[in-house]
Amino acid sequence: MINKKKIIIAIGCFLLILWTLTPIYWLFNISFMYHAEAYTSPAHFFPEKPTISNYLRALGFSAYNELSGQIEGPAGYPVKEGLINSAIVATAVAIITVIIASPAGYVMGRLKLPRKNLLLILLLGSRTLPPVAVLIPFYVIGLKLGFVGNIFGLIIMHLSITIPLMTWILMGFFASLPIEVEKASRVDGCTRLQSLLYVVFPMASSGIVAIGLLSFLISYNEYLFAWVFTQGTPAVTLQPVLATMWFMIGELNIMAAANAMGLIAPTIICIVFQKYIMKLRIVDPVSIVIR
Amino acid sequence: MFTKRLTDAQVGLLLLLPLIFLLFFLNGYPLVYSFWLSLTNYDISRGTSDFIGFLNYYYLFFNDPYFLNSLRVTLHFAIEATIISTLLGLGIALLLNENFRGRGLIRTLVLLPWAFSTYAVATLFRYFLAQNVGFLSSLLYTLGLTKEMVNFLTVEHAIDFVALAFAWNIAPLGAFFLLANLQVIPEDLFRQAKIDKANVFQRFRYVILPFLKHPLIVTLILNNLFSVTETTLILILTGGGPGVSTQTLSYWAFAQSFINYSFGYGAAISWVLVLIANVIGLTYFLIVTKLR
Amino acid sequence: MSGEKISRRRYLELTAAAVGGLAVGGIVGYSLRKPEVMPPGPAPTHSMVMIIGGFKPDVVRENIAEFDREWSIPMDKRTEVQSLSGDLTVATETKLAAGAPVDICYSYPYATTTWSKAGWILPIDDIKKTDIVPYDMSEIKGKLYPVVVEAYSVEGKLYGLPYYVSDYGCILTNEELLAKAGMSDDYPTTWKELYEKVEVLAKKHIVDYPLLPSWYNEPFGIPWAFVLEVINQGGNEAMWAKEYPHGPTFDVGTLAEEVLKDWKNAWDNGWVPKGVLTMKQTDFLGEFATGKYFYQVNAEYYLGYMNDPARSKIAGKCSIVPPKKQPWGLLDSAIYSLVNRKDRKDKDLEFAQALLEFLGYKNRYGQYYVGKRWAILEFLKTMPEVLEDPEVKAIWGAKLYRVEDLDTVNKLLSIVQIPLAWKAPWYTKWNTIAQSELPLALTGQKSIKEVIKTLRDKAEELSKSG
Repeated sequence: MINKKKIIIAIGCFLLILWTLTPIYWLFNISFMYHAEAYTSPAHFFPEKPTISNYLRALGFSAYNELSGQIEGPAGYPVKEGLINSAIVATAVAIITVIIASPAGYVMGRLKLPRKNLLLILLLGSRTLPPVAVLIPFYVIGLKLGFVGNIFGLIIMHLSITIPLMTWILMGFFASLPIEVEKASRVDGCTRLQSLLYVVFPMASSGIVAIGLLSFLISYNEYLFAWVFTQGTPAVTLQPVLATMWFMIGELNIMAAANAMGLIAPTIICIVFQKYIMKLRIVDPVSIVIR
Repeated sequence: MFTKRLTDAQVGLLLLLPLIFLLFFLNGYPLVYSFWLSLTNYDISRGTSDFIGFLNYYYLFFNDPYFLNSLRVTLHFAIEATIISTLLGLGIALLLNENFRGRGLIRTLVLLPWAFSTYAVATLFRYFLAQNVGFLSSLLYTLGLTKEMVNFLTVEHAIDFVALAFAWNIAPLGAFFLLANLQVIPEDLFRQAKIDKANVFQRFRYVILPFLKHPLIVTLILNNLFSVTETTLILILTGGGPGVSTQTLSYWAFAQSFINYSFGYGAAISWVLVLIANVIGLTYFLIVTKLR
Repeated sequence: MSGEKISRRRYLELTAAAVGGLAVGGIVGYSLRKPEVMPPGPAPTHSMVMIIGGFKPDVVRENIAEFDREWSIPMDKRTEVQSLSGDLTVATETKLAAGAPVDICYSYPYATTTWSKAGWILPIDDIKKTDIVPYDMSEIKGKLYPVVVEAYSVEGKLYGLPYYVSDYGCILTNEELLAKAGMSDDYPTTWKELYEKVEVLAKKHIVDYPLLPSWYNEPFGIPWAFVLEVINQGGNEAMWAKEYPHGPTFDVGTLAEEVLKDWKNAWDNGWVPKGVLTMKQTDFLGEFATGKYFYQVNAEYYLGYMNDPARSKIAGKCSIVPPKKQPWGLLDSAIYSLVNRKDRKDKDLEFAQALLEFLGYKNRYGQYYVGKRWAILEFLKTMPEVLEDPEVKAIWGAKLYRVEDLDTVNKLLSIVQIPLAWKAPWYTKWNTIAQSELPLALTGQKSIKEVIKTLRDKAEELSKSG
């Protein structure tokens, strides 16, 4: 029995790795090729003439092209600024969202409001409007409030996306936590705040960290508002830069390199987070809570 | 103590209220504005902006030959993408819940596709699936499995590949959310199940599922929401094509607004989309709640 | 008032979330500031402003910097280059309508008609040589490609100087493959002949697909391919009426249907890769550069791309089919227009005219500075004389398959046609519809007759409602 389970797990892992990594391998493959080689039919599975010129050129340096024997100039897109700005905005959004959505989620989760679910479904339902349709009014608001062209406006716009979403998710999470532990801590003399900070939040920490990570990624990968509010300004974030590269006669290999570099920040976040969740293994001898 | 608790909760609510108001406004204003827009024929290239009532909707439902196509494509895509993403997420979560060597590394790897932005995924899969220079067709051709370079983005199947790309991108979100909930399940229950000699399926149904019901609903609804409103993936991967075979309502609304400059019409399509997205989401909600 | 896009270069500048820039005229400005000390001289009373799109803004800024240098423009009056986001025509129009201070903008055939009538851009025929303006327009006009005058004149008056002039829809060849097939120098002279030769080549089974037609999923892809193939064979009359607003003359049973039949034939026979329908321009270019096709329908300036060893496997082996019995392709171009800026004083107008001439003709030292730069960097043409310049000839002669290809390009440009409907505002919407409709005829989702009928009905409807 155990061996069978181990085999299934092994197969599952193998398939999972294949599924996840193959496209990523392809991205890196192209990013290390010169343009001419990137367009080969059938494609090369490994660069015959590997080069880091795409990375250099994306970051704004010139690089030597082996195939043509010439130095090629920088790619001309603000990839470096985009990377930095995206990282800053996403971090800020993640931190602020956690600070606001955690207590909000707790209150929503514990509160016995009539038709509370309906309210929240409405809130979520309103988000089903394709962002495209809300672009004009948001731009108008943004312009009037001075959000355009700086990262603060973008941070606020992203918060308007992440906070309702994360509150909604956390709500269910908090509600499923055993109330007894909380009550016990109150009996033991904790104030409401102490109970919250030292008992409830630690219990929910996996969820809270999850929310932080999610918010970071949502903000980092968000392109529509980033485009409208920061395109062409020094505050430009990564996604609009990538978009511009796509819409001009993009050099596929340079785009691949830019994308690959854009993965650095999210990957680090994923690694950090992953270690965190490994530490969590909640053992609760008290009864089960079924929703 | 109970009374005191309620009061505290009410205080909490009061503190949240301004936030709630702000969010409703930020959500509500665009909703109202775009609805109003859908009642006009605002078109930048023609310079029109008159109130025309429900004419856009009338034309959309009864006169536009592309509407049924977009509806069909949207449903096809949304349902396929949501189900694949959710099942994939569930499978990954169950796998990662097991204890095995290298689990940490795999957990990190699994999260990577979600770290990609839609643009990155779309460009990536374009070149993954390209007919002559893409990875898949080159692989099949080099291994001798096909005689010529396969075109994956055909009229019949392009949408399936878009759904696959979407699932690749989104599944980790659900997986990781479900995993976080799986980790909360008390050890005792598993021990009990072992003692009771429950098999895998019984264990899943009675121990795991109760804890996963709410997260599953959340995952389904989120995946549904993302798939129905997905525009960029289609824009970059297929451009709505070949022909109009991947022209979902969301892409079509986008194309009408930003390529055709008929913002009024595009808004009308968006609102039909909202209706459909909510109907699907509600259906999932009801189904999973009824699941016992 | 309408703004619709047509030119290929314009479509390149289209970006996804256009609205911000459009609806509220959201614009981003850049200024080029170089800390240098300049000797005093005649100067404009304010900074001149040029608005551009997304194509190679770095090259444009370098050009403008050169102008400022040549004219010793003081630092605080440096010419400003503003890069607009989103659809260039609509964004430009928003600015012009709002009376924003602009001196030079890009203009396209239909935009020229509308903007000149609105009084936003000025005719340039009467520009005279002064101590600031280097050249007389009479000298320049004779040197332009005739099609430029045709495309950009409204009621006999010219409204700008060329930014670029190109022919979209020529046949690029892979000479290496053609030699292998024993068909070197056996060029088709008409579109029908092209398909005949493709059929012969297909039978040799040297490559999977002999032809890469311009049927890709861009506004300037499949719709333009259709229009140009019809007007190359039947003249403009085969598609549109001669009088404004140039409504449709094509219908079921006309040449247009023949063309679609040729297309379907090629599709069904497997002469073209079916993946072309979802290709974007980058893919389309990269595909031909893999060297796996005999012919590609493309713009002539991609000879530069295809012969660049950094980007193409067929570098030095790509040539172009000369026009013999019919022209190939249609005009894809844009001009620099002189904007009717209201706050000009003193010599400001003359400086603006000098800038126009610098960009669209020669610099004050008699050199084709901007024209040569575009020709050398991107193989873009502005005037016939630029292609005859020895430096350009030397550089491109070395890269191209044969130096005579430069003459072929000149010939193509001198007889290229402009689709008449491009001068009317309704065309862009029709183009978008064609982009979705035409593939349906190929994949068989709709019959050819149905597609032609839909296209004709839509063209009628749009041209009548203006």
